[in-house]
Amino acid sequence: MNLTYEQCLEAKKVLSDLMDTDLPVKIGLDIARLSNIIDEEAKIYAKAAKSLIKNYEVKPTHSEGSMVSFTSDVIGKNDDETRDLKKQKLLEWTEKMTTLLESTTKDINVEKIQIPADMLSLSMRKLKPIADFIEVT
Amino acid sequence: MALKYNTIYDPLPVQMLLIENVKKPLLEGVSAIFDPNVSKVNKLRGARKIWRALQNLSDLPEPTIDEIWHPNCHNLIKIRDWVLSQLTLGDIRMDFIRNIFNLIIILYDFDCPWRWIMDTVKDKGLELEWKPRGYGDDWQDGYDWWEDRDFT
Repeated sequence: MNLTYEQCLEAKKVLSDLMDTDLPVKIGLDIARLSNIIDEEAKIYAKAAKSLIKNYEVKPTHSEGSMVSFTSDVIGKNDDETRDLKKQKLLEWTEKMTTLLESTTKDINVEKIQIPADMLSLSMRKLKPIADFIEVT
Repeated sequence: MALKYNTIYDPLPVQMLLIENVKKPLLEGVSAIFDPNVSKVNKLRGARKIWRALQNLSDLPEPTIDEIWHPNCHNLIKIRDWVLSQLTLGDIRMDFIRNIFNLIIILYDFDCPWRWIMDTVKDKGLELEWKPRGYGDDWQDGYDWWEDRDFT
């Protein structure tokens, strides 16, 4: 099964909450295994995202030096041209990050976790990201 | 005019960018500076983080009425532009004030908990009879770096 990284992050959060729930050993073990796999994928995403976030900056096209410097000839520019440049940069960067979030993880091949119907109570919001990984028995 | 959930600051990646590059370093920097148990070296590091956060903020497009959805933010933008037009301070101070305004406007527009806090502060301030500008100041003649113009 392939997840997008966005789904992966959502599943990670829910699984992390489930890890704190008292469950029978077998179910707890299956959830821990799944959580480890999801965590590994989340780490790959985090590394790529961190690099994109860290390297976000606007390079000026019309003057030397960094636009982000607090010197009068650069940061003071809040004219239309500068604003458009910053907006364009932000939109391009958002597209890159969205592509990353929508990219799929490697195939996650795990057996569905069998959970008795009356054992767990989860909200729809929490159930959704992990619905494909569990089977109610 | 932008619609709710459809501004350039709203997508999840931009929120992550703001958290990592602006909000988190600001929080860490301010905590370090005001913590009496933190060493001077780490306070300097904290100040650097705040500076960097403001620089990162200035990488983002300045909020305009066209790109912001909340009506109160439209007012804040008008106030920002008016206040900046009154001031004749040096560029560094002007940029600092502009950045603080921009941070507040962006946070107010997409960050509901911050909006809640800011609205509460405003409501309580008015409830407690906020004193007018200049109240208690020894200096009565105004300031040479401030020129009152009509608010349009």
